[in-house]
Amino acid sequence: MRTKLAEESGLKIEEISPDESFEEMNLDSLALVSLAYDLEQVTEMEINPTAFTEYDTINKLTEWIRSQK
Amino acid sequence: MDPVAEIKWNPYTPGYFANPYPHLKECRENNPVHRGAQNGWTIFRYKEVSEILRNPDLLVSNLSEYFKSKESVIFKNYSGCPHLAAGTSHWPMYLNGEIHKRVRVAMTKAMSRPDLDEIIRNASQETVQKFEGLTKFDLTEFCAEFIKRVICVLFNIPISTNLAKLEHYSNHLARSQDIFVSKQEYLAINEAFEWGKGIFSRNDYMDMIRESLADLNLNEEQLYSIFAISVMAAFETSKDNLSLSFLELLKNPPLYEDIERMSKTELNGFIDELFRYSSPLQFTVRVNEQPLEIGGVQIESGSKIYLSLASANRDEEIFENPDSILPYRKSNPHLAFGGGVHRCLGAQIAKRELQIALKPMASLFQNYELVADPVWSRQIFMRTVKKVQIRQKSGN
Repeated sequence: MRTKLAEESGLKIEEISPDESFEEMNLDSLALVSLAYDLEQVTEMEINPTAFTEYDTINKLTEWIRSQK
Repeated sequence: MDPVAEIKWNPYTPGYFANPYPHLKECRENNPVHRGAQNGWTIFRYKEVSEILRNPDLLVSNLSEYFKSKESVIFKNYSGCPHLAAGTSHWPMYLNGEIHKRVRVAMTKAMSRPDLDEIIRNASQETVQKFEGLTKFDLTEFCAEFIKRVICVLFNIPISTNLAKLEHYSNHLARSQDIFVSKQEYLAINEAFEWGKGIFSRNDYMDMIRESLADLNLNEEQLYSIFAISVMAAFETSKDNLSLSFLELLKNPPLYEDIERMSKTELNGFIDELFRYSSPLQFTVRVNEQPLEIGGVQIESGSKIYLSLASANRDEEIFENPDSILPYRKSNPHLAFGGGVHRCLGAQIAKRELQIALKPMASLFQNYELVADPVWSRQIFMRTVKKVQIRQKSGN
């Protein structure tokens, strides 16, 4: 996920903290929706774009995904 | 803090795609004017929705410009041709002022044909004949087949064109207008635009468009965009309205008896009721150049305003028993076709399709029943049911 986030936000992978909120990474709506799409492919789950607002850090999001499986 | 008052429109509320109406009702009753998804103002009551539709100062947004601004991002590692901005350049629902009027008038003129009834009747008969022997089939495929036959004649598309590919084309173009669309989806939509060039050929419809707009000197890309929206608009919402309507008939068999004994006038009223109930175009968008007060709320200039046509059509202030199909409903000022200068220019064709096809098709579906729960598309602005498996009733 950090790779994809780096791609979308233009930040370097090392700069992305698992507890940093996605909002702080300057990702627009198109980026978030596209990330959700990627995540769906990888997790084989339905991931709504709103998940990024509800679970707004890498840690919160991965925790939620784990709990759904 | 009252949690109900804080309700925000969220199309990802569980169950929304199968049935958005309970959530829309909650929004309408508890927070009828608020900032929802994507920082757009969402409007849910009939009163405010119709006010905004009728307000001549409000503009439509520019989809093509949006694509222009995002093309570098969407097509970053893409080797193909970008079609999104060009393919949507002259879609009339995203044009304002003089150019809107010109394109709209040209399309209306080119679509009005003296043989329309015959085209619809043939399409209806052929489709019923094709499916009536089958013990089971997908209702959505039936509806798509019917509308395909109509548009193939209207737009000179070869009838041999694969139905699934045509559905894919139309659905992807429709989806280009939606919110929460990913880059990956945009690329698929782009491929669809590419495919559509293969069915874009010289025909009476496009010749009339070219003639009407000759002084504008539109290039082939721009003319293709008019062809694309004509096909999509004629196919998608008609197919969706039909699927949604027949789904309701299958769930509500007593309606067949009403259809059987209705006069032409009563049938027209029933058809309007089906449009109100299905509202395939769930939202339309307006932009305000000046600050606007609506429903007691101040909306700053340059805001995106999402009008929930679907919610307005279920507003109990206007419609008695709004969540039921009342076949003999008397007063039905529904907004399924929108309103104002951008009111659906295909409305008459859509109504005519049902006026001709409803009775014979209802007769067919009387002998069928639902096999499973329908499968819904995850689309927000234009509601589509993807799969409705039906089978012949036993004892037939």
